[in-house]
Amino acid sequence: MRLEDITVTLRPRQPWESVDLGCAMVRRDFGRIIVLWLCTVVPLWVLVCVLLRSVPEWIPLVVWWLKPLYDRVPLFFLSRAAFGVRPTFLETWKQWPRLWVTNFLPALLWRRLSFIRSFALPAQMLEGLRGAAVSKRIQTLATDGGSSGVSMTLAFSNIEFVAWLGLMWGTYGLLPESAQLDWEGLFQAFDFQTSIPKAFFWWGAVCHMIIVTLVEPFYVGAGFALYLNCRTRIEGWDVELAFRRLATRLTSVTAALIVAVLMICGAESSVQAVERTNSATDAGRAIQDLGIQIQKEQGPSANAADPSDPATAVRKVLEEPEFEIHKLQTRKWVWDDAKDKQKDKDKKKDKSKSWLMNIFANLLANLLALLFWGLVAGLVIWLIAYLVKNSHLFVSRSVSKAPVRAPKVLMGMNITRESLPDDIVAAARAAWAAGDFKEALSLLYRGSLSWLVIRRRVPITDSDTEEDCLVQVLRAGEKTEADYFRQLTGAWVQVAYAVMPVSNDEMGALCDRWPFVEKGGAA
Amino acid sequence: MAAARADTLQSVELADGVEIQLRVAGPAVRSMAYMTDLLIRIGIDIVVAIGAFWLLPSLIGEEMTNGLYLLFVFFMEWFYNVFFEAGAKGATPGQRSMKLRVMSVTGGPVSLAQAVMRNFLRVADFMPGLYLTGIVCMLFTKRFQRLGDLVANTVVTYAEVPPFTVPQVEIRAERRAPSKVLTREEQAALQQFLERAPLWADERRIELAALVQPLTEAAGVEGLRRLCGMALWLQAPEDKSGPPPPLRGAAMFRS
Repeated sequence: MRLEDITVTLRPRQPWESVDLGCAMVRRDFGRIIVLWLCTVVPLWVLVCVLLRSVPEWIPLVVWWLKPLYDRVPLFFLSRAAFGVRPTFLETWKQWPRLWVTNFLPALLWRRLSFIRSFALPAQMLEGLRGAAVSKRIQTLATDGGSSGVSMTLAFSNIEFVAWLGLMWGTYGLLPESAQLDWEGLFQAFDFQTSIPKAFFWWGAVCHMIIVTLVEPFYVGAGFALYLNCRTRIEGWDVELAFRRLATRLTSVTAALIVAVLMICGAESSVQAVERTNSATDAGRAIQDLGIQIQKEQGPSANAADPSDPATAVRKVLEEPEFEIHKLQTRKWVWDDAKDKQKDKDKKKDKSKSWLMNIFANLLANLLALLFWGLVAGLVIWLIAYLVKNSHLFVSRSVSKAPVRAPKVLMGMNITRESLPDDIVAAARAAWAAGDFKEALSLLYRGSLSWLVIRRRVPITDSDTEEDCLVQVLRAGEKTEADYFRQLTGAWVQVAYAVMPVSNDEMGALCDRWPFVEKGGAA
Repeated sequence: MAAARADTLQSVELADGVEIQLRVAGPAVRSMAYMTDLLIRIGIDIVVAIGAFWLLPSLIGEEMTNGLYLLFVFFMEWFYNVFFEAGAKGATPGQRSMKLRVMSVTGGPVSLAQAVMRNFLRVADFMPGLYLTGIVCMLFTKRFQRLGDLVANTVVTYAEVPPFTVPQVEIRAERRAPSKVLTREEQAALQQFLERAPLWADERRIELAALVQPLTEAAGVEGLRRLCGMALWLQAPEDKSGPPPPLRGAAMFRS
């Protein structure tokens, strides 16, 4: 094991965080772990199933009890992978029997129900201890991380149990009827022998194995990470790692300096240079010191262009664009009095010229202002005109303007002006005299509707009945017209639907009071 | 190699190029928090049921009480988490008991919309029964997110850094500047050494100090003394208070 090759980030963590680290480690290599799992655990399960084929209800319990065996192969893999060497399939395969035999009995007997099973497993498996030493070691570790190991075990057994039930719940509906439970037998007769078919137990066992396959590696990984965290805390692995890196860096810097010095000064002065290097506080300064010293000895012009000269090298490096010094300058504008005075003098010199210029500039400014205001006025006028033109969009519907499209046919009657005689009243009287009461009243009614719809723009639509028409007219029309129309409607309905003739007097009154004529026109 | 290192910190690059690191919490601790919440919810439901069916039926009738109670349970089931997660603490009581909180992936607090989304999607995580999808999803995503988290862009993180309690030990070492320029990581390692050395055995301290002999240029106890002196110097280059105060950390540990 070399700590430098570690592939997890070590740092003293909270217990739950190190559990998460274990999950992350397992997730990283889940594919490989699951392959190893399938090769080592599934044969055992097949064996268990064959042995217990007559009592499948015991299979989940046995599978659960044998869990410490399964944990070992994933742990072996994880412990190697954490230090940078992922064991190949063959390596693991060869290790497999040894892994299962090590501390085999205690794990399956008195340590089986330990609440810190996965946390204690690395101590049993990886530290090469036996017998009483194992117990002592586990006790030592448990004083630091035991409680977190317990709560972690609780969490994972929760997850496993809940996931198992969830899988069974989710897939229960897919079972054939012969495998489903007989609920009535179960709850009314409490007959467990016949109401739970064997197939149900088999299916439950398979679900359990699937979930154990899914969750158990994470449980092992979490325990291993807790163990790592424990040792990181009590042995300072992270500090050791950082110190080793620091030492490597420092020794390699010293070595590089020695090589450089040898190249420049030759073998005689190297001992002196090494001493100097060691005593200098800064490696960079040491290089510069050497460079200056050499220049003094050999003269400045001798090797100014020598690329191996440290001073030139340093200068070259400093000339790189990365070392260019950027400055941010802020400039403040200040009125320059002297310049201003000078300008005043200049102005006085060509006063006449500037006077003319002034007039011209003023004129131009006024013109532009006029143009601008003209534009604004034009815009305003255009806007007002636009609004007036489209005022119908903004004004709410009023009665007088409403239905621009007046209906041409109402209740099966044509009410266009063209379909009616010019003098409606006269035509009605003539029809009345001829004894055609219905025609007479129809003429009056159509005439009045025509007038109301076309002239008065009463909002009558072509689906309105006599009643609707009357309501609209009463609401919108003038008083005399509305009163007349009500009377006329009554008469018309009486004649047209009840087929009861109106009296001569009433007809006469209707004709006499006809209000729908142009003002000033004759009746 | 550094990229392949497994870690629980997940770095997120924000829109303005800043990189933050989230201490995401995994399925184990979250399932414990969920259990606590479940127990709290069931407890409240039972208490309210007893209260309601004791008082209300005489006032508003049996069926009305039934209906109101069912409504109450509905809101508890759907809005308990939303209410607490969108609140100031960003955590339900269960999550607070495990020192967790819900965060947006950008490290900010969750908005109401995110809280609603991540909790209404519990239905999807519940499939095909008892959160199976959610558990599997959490185990296999990098930031331990379930489907609701993935959709709402949220993570569950540890809420606070626990204070690292260190025994108060007087250090009998002379401040000295490190003989070489150290990087930030190396300075941090020296500090860690100073803070955690009281937890270790004497042999282990000397063993660790011997590792950095190129820096201390001394072996054994003298190396350890120099190392502690350098770590002290990094804490404060000059001793400002006159008599040496009991400092955090440890060096010559014979008290």
